[in-house]
Amino acid sequence: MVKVYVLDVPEFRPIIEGARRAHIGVSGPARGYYVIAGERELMFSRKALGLKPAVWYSSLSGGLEGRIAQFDRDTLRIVEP
Amino acid sequence: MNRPVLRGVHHTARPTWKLSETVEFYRDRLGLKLVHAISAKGWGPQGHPDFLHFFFDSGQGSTIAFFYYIGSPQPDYLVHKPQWDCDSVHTAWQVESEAQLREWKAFLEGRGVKVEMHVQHELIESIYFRDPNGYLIEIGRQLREMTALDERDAGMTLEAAIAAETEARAGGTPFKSIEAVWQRKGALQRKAA
Repeated sequence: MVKVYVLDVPEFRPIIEGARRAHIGVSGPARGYYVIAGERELMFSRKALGLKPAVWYSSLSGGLEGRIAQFDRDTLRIVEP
Repeated sequence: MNRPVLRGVHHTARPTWKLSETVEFYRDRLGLKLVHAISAKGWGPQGHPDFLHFFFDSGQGSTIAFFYYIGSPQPDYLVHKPQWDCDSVHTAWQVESEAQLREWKAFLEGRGVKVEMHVQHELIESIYFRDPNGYLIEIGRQLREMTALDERDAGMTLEAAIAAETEARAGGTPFKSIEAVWQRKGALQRKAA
């Protein structure tokens, strides 16, 4: 299981909305964080989320259960540790 | 004893070896009033040169100040390099609205000051430019208020980062990426759930 914790504030909300659009499991918010969970992998595209770079590069700042396989200007891929 | 109160920034100060250019930039180009200047014979520590210490008004009771040390050559370690580590020392002024930020951008460009970056951060939208010393100046508008949630999140981030640093200092896993912080924070989240 791979999990990303996302702080419940406006600047990170596009990540939550993007995950919901892509039918990725989102729960919360609980204790101030949403949790995005994937079976083996999670993948995000900055352009699809509409995030500016400065916020994009903090996308995992709420906490991570998993390992970063790719994190560049447009793609973020998380896999199992 | 309770912690005494602080009332914001009175001044920040940096050294300059470009007296006329610095005054011209802040007073004449940016239009900040020169509000105070100390001129003094060297005193205090031995070898302290005669100096000028002068202040420009940056609003709300704050000032930006400079030291000019007379007859003292600029040491290499104080030559500002326009790169991320030197630029971490910078001054950030605040405006109140998007319109004011746009006005500043147009004002600067109209006066021949190059705006190097316009960045939307998490809590602040900022423009950046340099003074004649190469020092980075930021003007930003806060996008929302900081909340108790931000405070709690900041505490957890720093707890995770300090743990990573402590482990590395003790000879454990070297602290080489932010991923280690995010994973530790993930573990804290899991524990709290």
